[in-house]
Amino acid sequence: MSVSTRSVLVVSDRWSIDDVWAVAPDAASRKAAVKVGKAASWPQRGAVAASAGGTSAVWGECQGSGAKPYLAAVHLDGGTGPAYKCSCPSRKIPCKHVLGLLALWARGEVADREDKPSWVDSWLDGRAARQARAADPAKAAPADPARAAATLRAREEAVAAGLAELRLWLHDQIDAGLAEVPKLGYDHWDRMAKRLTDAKARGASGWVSRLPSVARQESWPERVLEHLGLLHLLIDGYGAGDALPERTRGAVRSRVGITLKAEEVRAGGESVRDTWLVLGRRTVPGAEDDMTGLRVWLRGTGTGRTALALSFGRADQVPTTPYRLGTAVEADLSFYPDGHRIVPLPGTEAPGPVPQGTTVAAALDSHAAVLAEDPWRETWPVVLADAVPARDDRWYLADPDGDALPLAAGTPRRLLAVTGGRPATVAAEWSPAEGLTPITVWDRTGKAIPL
Amino acid sequence: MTTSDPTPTSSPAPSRAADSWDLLVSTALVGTARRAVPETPDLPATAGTEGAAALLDRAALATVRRLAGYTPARVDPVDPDPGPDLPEVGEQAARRLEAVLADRPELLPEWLGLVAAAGLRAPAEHLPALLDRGARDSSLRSAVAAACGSRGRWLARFEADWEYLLTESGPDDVFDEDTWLHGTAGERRRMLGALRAADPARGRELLAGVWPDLRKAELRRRLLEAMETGLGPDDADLLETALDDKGANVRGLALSLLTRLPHSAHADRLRAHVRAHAGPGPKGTVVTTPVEPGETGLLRDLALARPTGRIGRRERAEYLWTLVTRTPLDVWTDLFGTDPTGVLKRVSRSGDDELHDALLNAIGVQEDAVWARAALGLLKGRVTDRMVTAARGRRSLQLEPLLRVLPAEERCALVERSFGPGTGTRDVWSLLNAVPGPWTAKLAHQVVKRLGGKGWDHDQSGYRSVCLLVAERTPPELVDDLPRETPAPAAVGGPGDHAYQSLLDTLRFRLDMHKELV
Repeated sequence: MSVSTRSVLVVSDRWSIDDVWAVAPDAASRKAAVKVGKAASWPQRGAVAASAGGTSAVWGECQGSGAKPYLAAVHLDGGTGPAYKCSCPSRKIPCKHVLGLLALWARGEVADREDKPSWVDSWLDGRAARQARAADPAKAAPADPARAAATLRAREEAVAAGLAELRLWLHDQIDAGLAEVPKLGYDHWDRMAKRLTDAKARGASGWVSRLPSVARQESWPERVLEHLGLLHLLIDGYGAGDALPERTRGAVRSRVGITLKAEEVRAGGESVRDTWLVLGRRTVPGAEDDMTGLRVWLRGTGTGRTALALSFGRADQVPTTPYRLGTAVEADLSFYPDGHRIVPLPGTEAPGPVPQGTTVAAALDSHAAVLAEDPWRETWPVVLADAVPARDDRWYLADPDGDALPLAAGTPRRLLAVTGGRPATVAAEWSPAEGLTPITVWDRTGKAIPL
Repeated sequence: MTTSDPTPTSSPAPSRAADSWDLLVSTALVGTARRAVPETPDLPATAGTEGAAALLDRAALATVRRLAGYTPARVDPVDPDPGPDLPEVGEQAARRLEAVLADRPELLPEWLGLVAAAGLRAPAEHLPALLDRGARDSSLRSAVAAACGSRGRWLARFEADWEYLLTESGPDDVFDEDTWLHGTAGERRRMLGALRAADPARGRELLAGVWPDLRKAELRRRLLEAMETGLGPDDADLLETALDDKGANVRGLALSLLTRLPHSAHADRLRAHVRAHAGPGPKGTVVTTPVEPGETGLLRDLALARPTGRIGRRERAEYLWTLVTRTPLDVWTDLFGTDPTGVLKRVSRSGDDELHDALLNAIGVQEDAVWARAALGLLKGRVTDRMVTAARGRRSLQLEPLLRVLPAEERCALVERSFGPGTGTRDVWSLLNAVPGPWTAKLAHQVVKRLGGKGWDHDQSGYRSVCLLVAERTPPELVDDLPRETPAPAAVGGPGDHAYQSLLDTLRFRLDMHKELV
C-alpha cells in the first residue's frame, strides 16, 4: 500500500449531521461544537477531494478569541476510521473545533479546494507513511519468534494454574451451598478475581467480579448457578485445549483472557474476501468501567458469514469504526480464532442492499447453532424479514408466522415511526437473557435507518 | 480485553428441563457437602458424576440447553397505520431538520410551518424527536401536529408523553360517534372540534346534552375548548352556563370565549357594568368608582371568585382591570361620544395609569386594529420615550400586542418612523423586540443601517441581540441585499463582527430551508 492508493480505501460521502454527533465524545463537546460550527468562525476551510470521488479530508482554521487560529483537520478515508487533529489544548478527541468543522462540512458549507496549507499536507503525509508501515505484515511480525512462543507458553501455564485454583474455589462454593451468597462482602469475590488477574486470566477474572451483581438480581439462586455453571464449563473448555473444534477453542481462549493483537490476527488469522454488508451498530459499556465498546455487525453477501467489528474508546468517547450503515464494504477481513470477530479494516465502500431476512424460528436456529460452538456467547445478530412490532404488556417483534421475540427496552419509537407498524426488514441483537435489541430498520425505499 | 460479552444475567424461557433445573438449584443452595447431587435423567450424561463438579456440569448443560431452546412467544401485532399520509419532505429538507434539531432549535417552528404549508410531512425517522419537543414545549404542539401527519398521530398513541398530539385538531379530522362517546378526553375534544368545523350547531347541542353529566372539571374544560372552532352568537347560552361552573379554569375559558362575542347579552351586561363604574370627570377627564365585593353579578360575569374576606387596593385594581379587558371597547366611545383617540386622550389627561394600561391591554386581547392604530398614533414616534417612561414607573408598555394587531406592512412602517440614528441602542432593541416577523425589507435595511451607527461599542450584547432579531424575523431572501461586510464601527474580527456574520449565516441557512420546502 502506498500513499497513492489511500483514496480507494473508503469513498467518504458527506456525513449527515447525525454522523458528526455520533463521534462527539460527550454532550458538552457537542454543545460547544454548535457554537464553533458557524461559517463565520472559519475564514479558511476546505475539503480535499478523494481521487475515487467523495472526500478524503476536511481542514479549517478556526478564528477563536486568541491571536492564533486553531488548526483543525479530519482525515476521513485513512486507516481504521476517521482521524482527528487540532492545535487546541483540549484533551477531548475529537475536540469541539473538529466537531464544528465536521458539522459545517455536513451542512455543505465546506467546499472542495485544490490548495491546502502546508500543515495539512504534512499531517496527511505523515499519516500515510505510518499506515504504509503498519500495513506491512513483515514489520508487524515479532522480532524473535522463538522468544514470542516461549512468552505465550508461559502465559498459558499461568492461566492454567489460575483456572485450576478457580475450579477448586468453585467446588468449595457449591459444597458449602449458595444460600449465604447475597450476604457475602465484595472481598469474598475480589480475592479470587485478583488471583485470576495475577494469573493473566483477565477474562475469567471479569466473570468472577460480576458475581456480586448477579447475586443482587431477582431469582438470584438461578442466576448465580447459571453463572457458576458456565464458568465451570469454561475451565473444562480451557483444559480440553487442542481437542476442541477450532472456533470453540478460539472462543474459550478469548473469554479466558488470552488475547491476540490485531497484527497477529492479520498475519495468521483466517482471511475471507467478500462484500460485507453493514447490518448495524450498537454502543455498549465496555468490559472495563471506563471504556465504551462499539459493536458493528457485518454479513458477507457471498459467504453468509457473520463478522463482528469491535472497537473501544474511553467512556466519554464514541469509539470509531470504518463501517457505515447503509453501505457494503468489499474487503479481505481477518477473523479472530472464534470465527466471528474481525480486525476492523476499511475496504471499498458501495451502497448496500437490504439484507435477506429470516423468520424468528430460523433466527433462533442460527443462535442455537452458534451456541453449540460458543456456549458463552451472549449476543448474536439476527435479521428478521417482514417483522412487525407487537405488544401485550411489553413490546415484541413478530414475524409473519406470529412468532415473537420480546424487546429488551421499551417502546420501539423509531421503528414504529419508520414502519407505521407495517412489515419491514429489521436487524437486531438477540440475547435470550436481555431480549431483542433492534439496531437497524430498512424503510420502504430500502434506506437503512439506525435505531 | 477480547470481548464485551457479559454473562447471561436473567432467565431464559422455561422448558421441559425445568424440574431437573429446580432440583439442581435447591441442591446448590443447601450445598453438595450436605446434600447429594440429584438424578437428572432428562439431561445427557456429563463428565463429572458426583459432588460439586457434577452439579456444575449439569447446571451448565441445563443452562445452555435453555438458552438454545428458547421458545418464541405468540403476540398480536399492533394495528398498522392505515394511511395514506402526506408525502415526506425531500432528503435535503430532512438533513436540514437534523441540523435544526441539533443546533438551531429556534428555527424549528419556522421549519415545521414551512412543511405544513407545503402539504408535506416530516421524515418518519425524526417523528419521535419532534413529538418529544412538543411534549416539552406546548407552544410547539400545533405546529408539530401539522407537520407530523397521520403517521405522527398514529405514533402518538404509543407513548403517554405524546398523547397531547391526539388532542390537536387536524384538517382531515372526521367526526366519529364511537370515538366521541368512548374516546379519551383528548380524542373526544378532537371529535367535537371536527364536528364544530363541519356543523357548529350540532356540535354545540352535543356538548350541551352531555354537559351536566361531565363530572371532571378538566374534561369540561377540554371539551369547551372545542367550542372555539366555529364560535358564533348562538353559542352564548352554553358559555353562560359554563360561566357558573365550579371549576375556575372552566369559568376562565368561558369568559375568554364570550369576550369574542361582542353582541351577546353577556357583553351588554359588561357594558352596563362599565357605565356604572366609569364616567366623564371635570376638565375632560375620566373618573372611575371602585368595584365593591358585594357586586356579585359583576364578579360572576367576569368569572372572578367571590372574595372571602376584606378586599384591598390590589383586588379592586384587578377587578377593574378585568372589567376593562373583557368589555367591548365600543362602550368607551359611546360613553364619551368620541373616537378611540379621544377616549385615550381623555384617559391620559386623567393621569389614571391603571385605566390607561388596562385599555391598551384590552386592545391587544380584543385584537382591535382601529384602537391599536389610535393608541400607537398617540405615541407619535415617541414609542421609545414612552417605553422608557413606562419602565421608570415600573409599568410595562405592552407594545407587542398592539403591533401584532396591525397588518405587517403597516406595523413595520410605523416602527421605521419610531427610531433613528440618535435612538439609544437599548431602546432600539426594546422596540424591535416588540415587532413580530416577518419584517419588511425596508425595516430590515434601516435596522442594519442603525447597526452601523453609533453607541454599539458600549453595548455589545445589545448589538448581538439585534443581530439575532434580524436573523430570525427578516425574510431570508434579503441576505443577498444586505452588506457582506460588517457595518462599521463594529471592529472586524471582534465580537460584533462575529454577530453580524452569524446573522448572514442564519439568513442563508433559512433561505436554503425555504427553497427546500416550496
